[in-house]
Amino acid sequence: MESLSDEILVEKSRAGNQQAFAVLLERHTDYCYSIVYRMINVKAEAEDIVQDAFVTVWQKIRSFDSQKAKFTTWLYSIATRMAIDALRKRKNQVDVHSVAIISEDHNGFTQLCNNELEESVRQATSSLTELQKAVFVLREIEEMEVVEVSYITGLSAKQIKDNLYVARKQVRERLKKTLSL
Amino acid sequence: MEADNYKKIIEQLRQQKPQLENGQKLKHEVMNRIRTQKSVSNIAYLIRVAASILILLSLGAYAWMEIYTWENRLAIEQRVSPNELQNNVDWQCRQTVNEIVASLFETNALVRQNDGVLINKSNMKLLEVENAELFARVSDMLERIKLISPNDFQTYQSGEDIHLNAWQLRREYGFCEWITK
Repeated sequence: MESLSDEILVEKSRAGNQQAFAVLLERHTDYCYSIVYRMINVKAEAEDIVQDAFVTVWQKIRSFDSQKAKFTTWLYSIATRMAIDALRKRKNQVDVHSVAIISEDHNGFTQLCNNELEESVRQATSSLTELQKAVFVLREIEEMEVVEVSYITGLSAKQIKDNLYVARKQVRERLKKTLSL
Repeated sequence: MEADNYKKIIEQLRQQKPQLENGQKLKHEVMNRIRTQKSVSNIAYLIRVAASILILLSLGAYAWMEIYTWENRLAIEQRVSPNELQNNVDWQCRQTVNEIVASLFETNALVRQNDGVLINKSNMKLLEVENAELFARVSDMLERIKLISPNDFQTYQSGEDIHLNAWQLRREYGFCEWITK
């Protein structure tokens, strides 16, 4: 089963084959987590989102159209949208709560990466809007194609370009301040 | 210079992929949730099937009750009006045959026996004299008997009696068909 392609595994999953889906899960969890974590910056929350994203994928796999996008693109679009929703919810929370999240952030991030540089980048991206952050992570860090980012975020090529421009500018300025570039 | 530093930072970020601390646990949880959902959806499916069967049975019972009531009502109405109870053609035939047999009983030319009359060649000669119209009708009947039951007709031809009653005319010699034609 492990040697089968994503397309075949998706077809088998469509037919209700849980083993096939487990292989897809095994294959794509890490990268999916990477994207979500870079956006969310909270370990536990990112794990929950990845978990929910895979459950949603299983529920909706019959409606997946392989003509429109690759399975991975579809998976990342679900996970990214969930991450964007989580960021929006977080924004609406009370300040005290946000402080708690940030402090947890810091600990989780430090434990995970143990890297001052990444912490600086995390702080630099914290002022970005949800979509700017998504575009920055997908296009700038993960180096995805514009078409793929467009499918995942639902933005047009021009919107992606504009959001990326603003995100880059802000991140660069923030980094300049914190790291005295 | 500044741009180069930014590029270096981003490049460094690309190299450092966030790693799941307990990936296996996450995958197990996803698979558990999928399995639980599947059993719940199976139960829901069974409930839906059971409900559909129940609705169909209820509809069937309702339809059957309606038809049963309608048949009962029709039967009661038929009892009130016996003419409605019988098949119309059959009832007309019965009436016509009874009328013929009654007219055969009335004539003195034929000898009555039980529920019918005896017919032979000499009786027919007397009938021809007494009631020409009835003679013509009985002659037609003999033609029919010749076709349907040649043995009986031979008995008649040989000068012996043949017995005719209403039941024989209707059932044995098929007079209903003849009358309808």
